[in-house]
This record gives sequence, structure tokens and C-alpha cells, in this order.
Amino acid sequence: MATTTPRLLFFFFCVLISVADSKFMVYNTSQGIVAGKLNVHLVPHTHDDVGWLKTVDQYYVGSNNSIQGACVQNVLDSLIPALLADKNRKFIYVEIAFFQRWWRDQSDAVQRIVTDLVSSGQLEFINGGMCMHDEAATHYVDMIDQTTLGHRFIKREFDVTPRIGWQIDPFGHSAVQAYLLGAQVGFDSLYFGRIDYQDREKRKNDKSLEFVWQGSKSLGSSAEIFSGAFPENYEPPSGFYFEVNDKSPIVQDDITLFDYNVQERVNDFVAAAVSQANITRTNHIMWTMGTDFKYQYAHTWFRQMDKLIHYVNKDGRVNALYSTPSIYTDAKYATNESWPIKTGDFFPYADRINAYWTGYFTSRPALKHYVRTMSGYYLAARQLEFFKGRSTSGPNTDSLADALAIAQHHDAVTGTEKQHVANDYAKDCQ
Amino acid sequence: MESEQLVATSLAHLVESASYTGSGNPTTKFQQCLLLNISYCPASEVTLSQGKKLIVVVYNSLGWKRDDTVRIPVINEDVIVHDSEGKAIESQLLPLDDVHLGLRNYYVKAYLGQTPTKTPKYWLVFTVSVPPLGFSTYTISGAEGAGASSTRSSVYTFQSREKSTIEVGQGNVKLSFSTEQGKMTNYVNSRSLVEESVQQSYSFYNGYNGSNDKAPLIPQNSGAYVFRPNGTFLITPEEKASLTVIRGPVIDEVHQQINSWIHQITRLHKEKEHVEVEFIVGPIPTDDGIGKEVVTQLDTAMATNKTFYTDSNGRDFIKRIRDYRTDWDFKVNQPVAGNYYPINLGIYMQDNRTEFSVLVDRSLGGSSTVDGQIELMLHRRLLLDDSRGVAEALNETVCVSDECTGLRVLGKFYFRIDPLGDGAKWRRSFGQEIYSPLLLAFAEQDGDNWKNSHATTFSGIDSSYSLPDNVALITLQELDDGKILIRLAHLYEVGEDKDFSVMANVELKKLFPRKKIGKATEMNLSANQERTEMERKRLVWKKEGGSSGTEKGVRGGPVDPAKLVVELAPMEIRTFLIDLEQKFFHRRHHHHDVSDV
Ligand SMILES: [Zn+2]
Repeated sequence: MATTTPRLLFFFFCVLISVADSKFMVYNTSQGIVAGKLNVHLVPHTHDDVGWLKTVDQYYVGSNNSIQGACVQNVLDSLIPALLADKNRKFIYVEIAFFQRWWRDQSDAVQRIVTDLVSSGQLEFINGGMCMHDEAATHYVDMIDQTTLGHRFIKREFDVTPRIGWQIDPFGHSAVQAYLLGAQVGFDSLYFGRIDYQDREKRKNDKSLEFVWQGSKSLGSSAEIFSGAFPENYEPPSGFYFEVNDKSPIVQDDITLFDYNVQERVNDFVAAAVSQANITRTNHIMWTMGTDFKYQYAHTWFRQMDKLIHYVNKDGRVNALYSTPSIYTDAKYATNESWPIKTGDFFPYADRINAYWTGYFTSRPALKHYVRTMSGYYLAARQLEFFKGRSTSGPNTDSLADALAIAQHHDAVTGTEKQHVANDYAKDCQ
Repeated sequence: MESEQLVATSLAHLVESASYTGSGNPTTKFQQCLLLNISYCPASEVTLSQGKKLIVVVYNSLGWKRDDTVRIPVINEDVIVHDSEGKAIESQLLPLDDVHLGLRNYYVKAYLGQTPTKTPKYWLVFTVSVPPLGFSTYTISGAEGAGASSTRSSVYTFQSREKSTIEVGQGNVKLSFSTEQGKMTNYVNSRSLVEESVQQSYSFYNGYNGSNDKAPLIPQNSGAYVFRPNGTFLITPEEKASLTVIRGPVIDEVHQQINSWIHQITRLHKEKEHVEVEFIVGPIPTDDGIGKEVVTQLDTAMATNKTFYTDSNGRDFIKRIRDYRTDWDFKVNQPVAGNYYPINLGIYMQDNRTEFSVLVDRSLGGSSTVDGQIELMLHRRLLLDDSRGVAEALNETVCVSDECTGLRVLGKFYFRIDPLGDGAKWRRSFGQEIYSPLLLAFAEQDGDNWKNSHATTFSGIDSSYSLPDNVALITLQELDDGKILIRLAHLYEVGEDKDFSVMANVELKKLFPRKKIGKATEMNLSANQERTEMERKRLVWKKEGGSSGTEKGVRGGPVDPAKLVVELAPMEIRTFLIDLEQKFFHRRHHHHDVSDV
């Protein structure tokens, strides 16, 4: 615009006045499950790859941001005040290799606050292994070891046991994951994002994206687990991304401003919910509110979700709530619905025509061999460590355990990381 | 590596335990060879003379006694190997070929920054026998004068113009090769009477360039994630390709240079009934501007009816049917890539008489894209990114002094043919041996008799005991709080083997002969809660059609705290946290399982 009229200047002045006048707005986020309504479970989460485009260290401290703007410290640092600001807000954290590192960096005071958030259920550990391991190129002994390492850390520090399997990004899913690393770990359910595009279409039509998975012929129903494949991916429905620079429209509820959009946003929300409900059994659906390395400034997400929950519930067509996969699973269970049975596995995975993710079964064969060799070595080394008597100060197997654990990540042993990251995994095992 | 140090000191403790006074650190300094797979082992590449001997402590982490072979590079041309009792044993020297030496020197320089100073001439191979969770000791010395020294292998190179069939193998399994075609032709096992024509070949797929894709298709390259081939090309052995046959008392080998960038050794161990294939693939040439994905194919005449089996994370085998999916009406658009499955342990196929199994040394992709054939993808080098975020082509190189060449991959796969229904025993037990290779520790000995001051054999479990053939100890670990974490895994599925797919029993007391078990608490798999607690909380979901048609699954019963015998049903894994107490009474044979007390 070439010129600015005095009238427009005056208008801006009034707006400033009215903002200064507005009072603290309380959003009602306390809503729980409502029977007889479609319940939209908002599950705030971040997906923090334990190495991919950057190394584990670079992701943690947020260096090398020209490759990818990602810093796990930002996520966890900003999360704590965001959760303290409203006790109804919830968050799940998954990758213990990162969490453990962050935890060790915290003061006693912060550790006490986090412990309280965990015991109140506001912060819940989900999956709980050191990483979200791959399911194709991993050996079951490594999957068990890396899960045990994470689970025992969580148990020791917080006295809790993760309830849910959360393999949202691995490129296909194995029977062993379901019956062994799911049911035998004691998980109540298992959720994931990637299944074959043809399979997904059929399951949407049959409303069979959620099912009971019996992964073992031998152990049958004694090792079954309730499982859910997401309708699209592990991200929010389109238009509901709220990272600092995201393009989705925020909920603008200041009526004095020109871009007030509450009704529009509520309509978008209801439409997306209904569309998902049409392919889902029961009146509970889950929205995965987050994606890779999101919540670097956690407030941006929670601010919008607070408003969405408040206005959607005021609207009343559907019921929106802060939730976790555990709350969602319990809600599903309480419906007493009957579920289809799935046997076998979800390999191979194609995300569209001509795109079979079967190359990574072999990608980086030397790294894959190295990981397998170290796995057998670690097993033998622990035996010898026991025969001698373990020493916490002298040489022990702990560093190999940590290095092997992160090498099971779904962009590590898979061979789908950048070259500099592959070099870093191999270095860690030495 | 810290764990390497831990292994060395632990073994030193154990070998010195006979004379160990309980104070101070052990004096024995063990070396290990973690680069043995690229033929590099400074510890064994020592000149043995004037009483200087090489001590090899061979540790077996499996729960049963193991007969296996050890293979190490040596300098001396005449050596003799003695076992734990001091008895001379049979051994064989095989020439270390130029291809392996070249790879060794290049990769040692690339990884460690220095060229090896010595050049071993031979591989020394000998058969070892090692107790469960224990070690045996072998002594290698220069063969001075007469005596039963190592047998040097006979070496003969056949040129491709020679028309003949050669047979190799000193044991039950014999393989035939056609020198004219330069390839394997037949497999016969004189014990099981299985005979099958088997041919092995190498091929590559060109990586697809997605810029050919026209809308509405989205351009799709072959890349780090996605396998999208554009034509298959058989790699035919070059005209002057030769075939070198090496024979000896322990192993026979056939060396083949398939082309300028593929070399392989086919190996038969006298005491074993499988074939070992060691390959070196790479650098994959890309000077034509095209990425390539290299596979090997094993062809038989078996009528396998589109069916094959691949493992799930090295555990259960899952039935695969070509161009078919159980859960939906499958529309095939990638006849090769869409039939690929992950392999961690192995892949096998059957017809009405026989069972053909292939086991691998790492995870890789494989398939059976034609009846009677098994295909493994061994290496891939691609020049384009496949648009799934990594934004880098999978083009691995190794650099020495700023000069980089495409990665060479060295690996092994193993195959065996059994009568129908007999394959599982080998897949399961040998699979454990692949996963847990013998761990070697080396020490030099000058003059003194090692035997007088060191234990030469050891077993961590009761000397009269070994785990049942169908059970593996997949964890034995002391935790920070002093508790012992153990996991026992049944290795067979229901119906997999007529002898071993049955309930197995493990006596926990026998696993801890020097200690008393105070308490054994059964845990969930990740050992963060008691199993009873986990079962109590377990949600029981309603299923369509009720529970009809689904098997309940058999489980081992609860463990009697007095007897401490663990029952394991097929495919069951049980996890325990164990409190150990030192045995307070004096045992007459305190070190009864250390033979040299
Ligand atoms: Zn990921």
C-alpha cells in the first residue's frame, strides 16, 4: 500500500487499546470422555529420531541446524512449564536415549517437578525403549536389550512401567514386535503409522485399522495385543500443525480483530473428526498432535489445543480432550467392541505404487554386519562380566549397551541415515 | 572399546582363578581380533620360534558344548596345534589369497590409518571343542623338527577351458562344480541321501531413475529406503575365470573370481553338513551413471509352489506366498521388490521331498521370485535419492589418503538341504552359532608351561550340565544392584520339529554351580515388573467370532521355588531376576569345573 490515511492510524490505535483492555481468558480444558459423543483424543507428542539427518548429539543440543532445525533440549525444556501451566495438558515422551540425557542435565528441583508430572500422568512414558527400534533389520535379542535398558531406567527413576507400544515411524511391522516386544513386555496396545497403501485402503473400508494382533502361531491368544494403524500417518490432521513456523491457521478468538475465526476452526475440527470416525470402530478417535522434533516451543501447540478443546466442546457436536494412548486404549477397551484378528506381519511396506520399502532391508550391509557382530559380542561379554563380577567403575559393558541400543533405531541399522550419521553409529560402538 | 577390555580382564581372571589369590589384578594380557573378518589379527600374526607359543582361549557363549572350527591368519609355514590336554590335534594351513590380503590392507589402512606391517601367508584352521558358557585353550607353536604338524592344503587351479566336474567335501556333504561353466552344479549328502542340483549365480538390478515416471505417477527412484529395479542383469563369469580348489583334512574350498568386483569362496567343513559361501562384493561399478543392487541366486529344480518362509527378527518363521497377501486382494506392480522380505536368521523353501535353507550373517533382503530359487540382496550402491527425507544417495565409499572407492562388502551365507521336515534343527542350532561366533582371546607364552599356571578349560555352568538342544540362554547379566538377569528362549515353534517342538526344562541351579539361588523372580520381558503383575493387569479384548479358531497357546508352568526348574513351551521366552548368595559351606571341589586345579 502506497499511503496510509490518518483514519487507519486511528484504527490501529483503538486496537491496541482494546488488547490492553482484554482480560485473562480461561479455557476449559478439563473435559474428559463423554459417553454418547464422538471423543477426539488429542495426543500431544514429538517424534525424536535417535539419529537420522543429524547425529544423536546434534539432535540433542540442536547443532547443525542448517540440515534440520531440531533440538531435543528445546522440546523438553519448554515442555515442563507448558505442562505446569495447566494440569489438564498432557504429553507423551518416547525416546529414552534423549530423555535420559536431558534428565541427567537437570537440577534436583526440576527433577522433582518432572517426577510429579509423571506421577500425575501429565507426562507419560510411552514405548520407553532407548529408541524406537526398527522392525525389519533388527534381531530380537537387540530389541529386547534396548527396550530393557529404557524400561529399567524409567522404573528406577520414576517407578512406572510404560503401558503402550508406539512404533509410529518404522517402515513395516513385525510379528515379533507385536507378540514379543508388545504382549510379553506387558503393553496394553501397540500403535503405528506405516502399513501398505493397499492394505490401508481395505482396512479403512472395513473399519479394521484397529484389531487384535496374534503375532505368534505357537503362543496364540496368550500373546495377543490390541493394535492400531493410523489412518494416514503419525501427524495431526491437515490444518492442525502448530509449531512456531507452521502454516496452519491459529484459533483467533479475539473478536475485536479482523481475522476472528473460531467458528471456522471448530468446523474444520468437527469435519476432520467425523471423517476419521467414519473409518473407525467405536466413538473414540485419536489425533496424533505432533511430528518429527516438534514442540521446540511447546506453548505454541498447547495454546491452540487449549482453545480448540474449549470452543469445540462449547460447540458440542464432538467432544475434544487432552489424552494419551493409554487413556485412548482404556476408552476403546471400555466400549466392549469386538475386534478383527490379525496374524502374520506387515511386511513389506509400500507407501504408494512402485514404492516398496524393501531396499533398506539391505542398505548399508557393512553397518548391518557390524551391529550384528556387536550384538553377539555384547551377549558373550555380559556372561564374562558376570563370571568375573561386575564393576561399575572398572571396564564394563555399559557403553556398548548404550551404543548398541541406539544402533537399533529405525534410521540407524536400517541404513536410511545420512553418511555422517552412519559413521557416528559405528564410532559409538567402538 | 571398553567391552573389549572387560572381556580381556574377565578371561584373565578366569584363567588365573586356579592360582588366583583374591587380590590384585590378573597379570595375563589377552588380545582380541575384532577385525578378523577382514583377515586382520595382529595377535595371531606373530612369528613363533624358540619356545614362543601362541595361546588361544576359545570362549563359547552358547549353553551347550560346541564343536566348531577356528580360523586365524598366521606367519609360520610349519605350526602345530595342541588342545587343552596338551594333545596335538589336526590342523590345516590354507593360502591367504591376494583378494583377501588386498581387502585387508586397504580396509585396515582406512579404519586404523596404518598399513599392517606383517603379511601372513596362511590361514590356520583347526577344530575345537568348547564346553557350554566356557572356554578351551589351544596352543600354537612352530613345528620344530618332526611331529604331527599342520597339513598344508593342496591347491589346484582349473582353467575354464578344461571340461571336467570336480567334487569337493571330506565329509557327508559333497558339492560338484563344472569347471567349464565355472559354477556349482550338484549337492549330495551321503548320510541323509538328499541330492539336489544346485546352481549359484550373481546378478544385479539397475536402480530405477524416477524421472521416467509420467504423471499421475510420482517420480520414484530406487534409494536407501525403496527398492525399485529397472531390469535384471545376470553376471556371467568372465571368459578366463578360473576356479581354484583347495583341499585338506579340515576344510575344502573353491575360490572363484566371478568378475573383477565379485570374489567368492565356497567352503565345506569336514564335520558339517552345510555349505558356507563367503563373498566379497564391490566396489559396485557406477561409471555408466547407474546405481546397482547386487543379488545372488541359488537355483534348484524344487517345485516350491510360490511358497517360501522368512524369519521375523530372527525368531518365528512366517510363510510367504509370491504375489499374494493374506489380508487383501493384492495388486502387483513391482513383481520383484513387492516380494522382498527382511531376513535376519534365514529363508527356506520346501517341496514334497526336501527343504532348502539359507542362513545369513546379518540382516538383508531376500525372496523367492521364481519357484525353486532363493535370492539374497547382498549389496546396493545407488546414485539417486528416493525422496523419503534422507536427501542423500546411498553411495558408500571407503577412503584412503583422500582417495575414495566404492564400499566392498565381505560376508557369508550358509545353505543346507535336508529331507522335508528335518531342516529346522540346523536352522535353529546353527543359527545360534552364527549369532554367537566363538570369541577368541590371544596371549603369547614364552617358555613356561601355560598349563601349570592357568586353567585351560572352564564352564560357567555345572560341568555335568548343558542346556537342552531347544533352549538358548539369551541373557545372563549382572545388574547394578547385584541381581542377575537371565532370559531363556525356546528356539522352536509349535510343529516345527518332531523332536524339539516340545516342552523343555531348564534347571536354574545348574546354571549357577558356585552360587546358591536365594530367590528367582519371574519378570516380564523387559524386566520392569513381575510377570504375575503383568498377567493380572492384562486386558482381554473381545474378538470377532469369539475365540473360535484361535489357539490359546501353551505356556510353561510356574516355577517351584525349591526345585527351580523352568519349563519352556515352544517359542516361549522367560525372564528372571535372580538373587544369588555365595555358598556358605565349603565345597570340597571348589573349582571342580576348572580342570587344571
Ligand atoms: Zn523416525
